[in-house]
Amino acid sequence: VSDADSSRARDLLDRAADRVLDLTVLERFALAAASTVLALLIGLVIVAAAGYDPVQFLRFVFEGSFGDANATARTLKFTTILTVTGIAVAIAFRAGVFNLGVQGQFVVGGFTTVVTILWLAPTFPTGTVGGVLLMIFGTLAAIVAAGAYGALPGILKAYADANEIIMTIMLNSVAVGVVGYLVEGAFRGEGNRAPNTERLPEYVSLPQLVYDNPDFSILGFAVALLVVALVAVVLAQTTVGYDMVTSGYQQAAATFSGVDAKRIIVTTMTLSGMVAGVAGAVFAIIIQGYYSDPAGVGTYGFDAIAVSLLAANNPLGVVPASLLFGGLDSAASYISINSDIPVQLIDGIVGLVVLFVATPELFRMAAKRTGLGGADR
Amino acid sequence: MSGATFGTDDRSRLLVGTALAVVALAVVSTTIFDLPVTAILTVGFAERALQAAAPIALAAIGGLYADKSGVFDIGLEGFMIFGAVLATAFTFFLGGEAPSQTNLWLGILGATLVSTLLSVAFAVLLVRYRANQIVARLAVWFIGLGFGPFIAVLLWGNRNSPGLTSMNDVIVPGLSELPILSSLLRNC
Repeated sequence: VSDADSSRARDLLDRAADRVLDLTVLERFALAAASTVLALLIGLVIVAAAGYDPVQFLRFVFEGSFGDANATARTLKFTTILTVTGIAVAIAFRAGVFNLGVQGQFVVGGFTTVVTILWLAPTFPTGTVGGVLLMIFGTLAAIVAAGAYGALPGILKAYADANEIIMTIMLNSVAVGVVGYLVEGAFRGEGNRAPNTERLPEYVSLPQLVYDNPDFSILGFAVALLVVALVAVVLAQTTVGYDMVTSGYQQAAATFSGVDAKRIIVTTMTLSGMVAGVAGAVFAIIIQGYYSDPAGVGTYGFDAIAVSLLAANNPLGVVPASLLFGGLDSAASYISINSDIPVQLIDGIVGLVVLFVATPELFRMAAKRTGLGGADR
Repeated sequence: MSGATFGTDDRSRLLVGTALAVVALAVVSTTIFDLPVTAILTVGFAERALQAAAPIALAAIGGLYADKSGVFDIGLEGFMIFGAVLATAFTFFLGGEAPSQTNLWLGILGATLVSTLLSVAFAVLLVRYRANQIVARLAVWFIGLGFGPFIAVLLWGNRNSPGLTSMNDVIVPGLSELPILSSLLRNC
């Protein structure tokens, strides 16, 4: 393939990709909104059928997610982690690689952060400067460890013909098992009754601004937005990002335009793992302050799949999507305290949202049938 | 995802490799980590391994059908959750907390029928409404994770159902008289 040919092919691909993106952004947004509304409606019907008051349930959902400063802080706490893990999933899905192992990479990253900070803390000065340095080193360690943990299935897929879906799902269990073992034994804090590591020093934390919640700092959300911006730029403006996105659209076309498919798979998985590592670090430093048995840290890596799918794997779309799911999570913890409606319903609603997002044709046909002129466009 | 065909050569090499790896693992774990391997590998161990393998094998047969037709079913877990909660619910409705053997079998039958209906509805969504295969199957998993415990909480006020009686042993005449296997097969 000559240079002229390849650049023309690229140009063509570029325009095709542009058109697809342009056409779908609005459509996808409408689809996401319609799916969410429909899933919530079904949820309300189920609530009513189970003998609870649906109006009260809806009121609880809004009160528990954005009702007051407390609820908003809780929502943003979940949103922060879901945004970063969602971005990790989106990178991989965008490039056509199904990384379902974000949960494992998130666990490896978080654990590495805590261990690194605890190990380095004695050699660093205490106080703000030491705290900031420790957080930076801890996060870098998480990025390296989780990136490597993500690269592993990538390499196996690219060069050993492994199935990345199975690999990543299984590596989740490996991460949870190994970290659980280490937290239980070698890294258990002295005199801890529960299988937890030692607490991070007091000065290794982000300051409380705007919201007065010990488990959350608005700066964490800022970090998440920074990651979103970075990844959006990488995907849209760099050659690596371009190669990844084209591979996602059509592998054959990407290969034709000179993309090394194997290298892109490894790059994608590494990048995805690195972002999951950031999520783990943010979770460990801001929310937990230590590391516990990963079987109980929350399924942010799995929920992130739903977030990314709702956002059509678009990094910018991940922010509103994770606000929605963060709000639902927050509402779930509010509902579990203030009412006897089983909170598992919220998880089911999340599943329904994903199901409907996967079925745009359903809305298209419904729109045609009712002559509404397309609820989804 | 499917269609990975091994030649006989590859397959025997894989088999030998796996066997060697198992032996190496056994040697390393007994010598270096001092694991009491002989105390672990008992009849009870084999029995529990078979018990634990049964649901996995059943789900794998289901997955095989999907895989043979060229789709990768990661929604199996979701349907398994529905099957489990429905079987328990049916048995509970039929026989309360002390169901009879017939109730148990009817419970399994009912759960299988309803799960089949659910997967037909799901197939309509996939084929008629052209849902994205992987995404929709992931959604089934999420829905199972949510509504499974939800149903349990509605019925029993707890994510765990009350304990049910288990199936009686089924004794297969010829098999239960085999010398070594008998102690294994009789209690499964």
